[in-house]
Amino acid sequence: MPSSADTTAPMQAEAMPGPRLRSYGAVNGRGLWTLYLKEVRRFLKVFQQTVAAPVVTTLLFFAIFTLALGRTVEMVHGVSFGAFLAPGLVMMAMVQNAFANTSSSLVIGKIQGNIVDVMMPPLAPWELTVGFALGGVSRGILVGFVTAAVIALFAPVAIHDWGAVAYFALAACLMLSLLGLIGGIWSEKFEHMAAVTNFIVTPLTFLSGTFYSIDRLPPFWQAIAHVNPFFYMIDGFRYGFIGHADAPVWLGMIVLAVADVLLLLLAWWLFRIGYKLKS
Amino acid sequence: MSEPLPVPPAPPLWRQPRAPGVFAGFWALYIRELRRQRRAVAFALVPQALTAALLMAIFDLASPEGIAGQMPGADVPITLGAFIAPGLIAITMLNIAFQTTAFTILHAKIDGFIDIELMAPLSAISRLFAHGLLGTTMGVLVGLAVGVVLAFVVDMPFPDPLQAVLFAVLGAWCISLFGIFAGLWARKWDSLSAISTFIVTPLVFLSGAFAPVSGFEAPFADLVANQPFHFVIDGVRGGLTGAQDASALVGALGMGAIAAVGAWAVGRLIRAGFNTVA
Repeated sequence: MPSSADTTAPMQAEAMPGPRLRSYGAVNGRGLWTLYLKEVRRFLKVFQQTVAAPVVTTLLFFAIFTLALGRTVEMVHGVSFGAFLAPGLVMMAMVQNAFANTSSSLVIGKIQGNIVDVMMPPLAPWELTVGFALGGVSRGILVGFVTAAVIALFAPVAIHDWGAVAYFALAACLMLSLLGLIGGIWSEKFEHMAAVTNFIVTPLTFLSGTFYSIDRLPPFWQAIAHVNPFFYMIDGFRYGFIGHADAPVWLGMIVLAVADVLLLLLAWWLFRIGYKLKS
Repeated sequence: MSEPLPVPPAPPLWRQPRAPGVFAGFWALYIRELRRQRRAVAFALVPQALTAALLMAIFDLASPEGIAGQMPGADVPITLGAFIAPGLIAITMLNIAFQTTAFTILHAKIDGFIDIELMAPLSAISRLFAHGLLGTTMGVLVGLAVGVVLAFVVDMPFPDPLQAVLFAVLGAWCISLFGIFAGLWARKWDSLSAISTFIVTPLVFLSGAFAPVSGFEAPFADLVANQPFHFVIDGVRGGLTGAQDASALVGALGMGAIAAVGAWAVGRLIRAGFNTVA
């Protein structure tokens, strides 16, 4: 072998073949899996803030409301106030975290500039949508499991319908995960994201029946609630535990499915046109 | 001969440097830290006022008689809304005071610009008061904003506003001192948010802000009744609504003692240069 240090020799074309084109087929499975793993590891690395903290916050809410109202509110729909409150709080923790995961990933990526690590690889718009969204769903479901397990120590939590619990948990986490994705794509600064969280997500999760039965609302607001997907997700999830729903469960399932499909299409389209992502 | 350099016009009187007095160092640092809070309107004031209003709406809807109904188990008859409103004001104030001091100090440490403060000719006592009063100011301001919002929906008679202010300032000052300690102690955002989530928030929330202490289970009732934040919340509630569990004098003396001892201890830490580098 001649010395490879002899850099003055003219390069020979056949000695350095060009990079081979890789083909992925219809789905870049490895790319999708990598994006998903990145999203999951991103929150697991700081699980103390992303999993443990929401559990503590939810328990505090539970303590506050049962202490303040436990003696006044005896029964709601035939169950104790604690049993009524617990599913709503678990759902609230789940969806807030699903939202936080995708929105923070996008906004931090844009501000720190590492969003290019996601925009450059050969990932199709729908693969980006699915990878990010599933990351948020995973965090929501994990937070939900842990919160439910801890809250079950303090409140009588019995499951009436496993299917409803699973469907509404997944559909709601997907909905908020996609909303977070769209909010994150739209936001250019932390202020924008904070505004979406404070003025849209928190009020909607707080006021959509987490803490009270919707029949407590004045008629006008009851009518509003019946076109609010947040109401259906809490109502349906709670039905899975206590066996009572304010609205028909099948209607809630359809509303959530439609909302999820519309949001999926919107997120996919935003990635496709590169809205506020590509110049 | 070159032209003489043009003399810049003198700045207006109020921007001219003053001769350094006793408080000059404190004032310079305090004003600088306050100016760093310009984003607080978006990140603290509006969200906290909105959250308080939301919680009040939820209590109104979740309770059968609404916030105008009676608070069960309270020593002095009081409506649910009037009982909870001072609690919301106080917990918001305490949380903001803690977060402002702790996060500004850790931010300066992590980004390295704490050097400016360390190199400047500032005494430990100036730095103690600048940071401590920054937290107190922000806490009281945000608490005030929450109070203004809640005053629209809840009837608070304000029998003794001075007492409310006294307890608010003492409480915000004490938790700001703890914030200084936490900001100095922490070296990472994770450790600080752990203190905030697992120590400060539970202590602040479980202090009789939302329910009378007498309603708690046996061991917790005594624990909660004797923790410092309960005195703050009780004192603020007494000043705003006249309903008070414990003696205001005992509470004020106790908080005053904590404020003084805390200031001494944190002042010593600052002077010793405790953990000034992230």
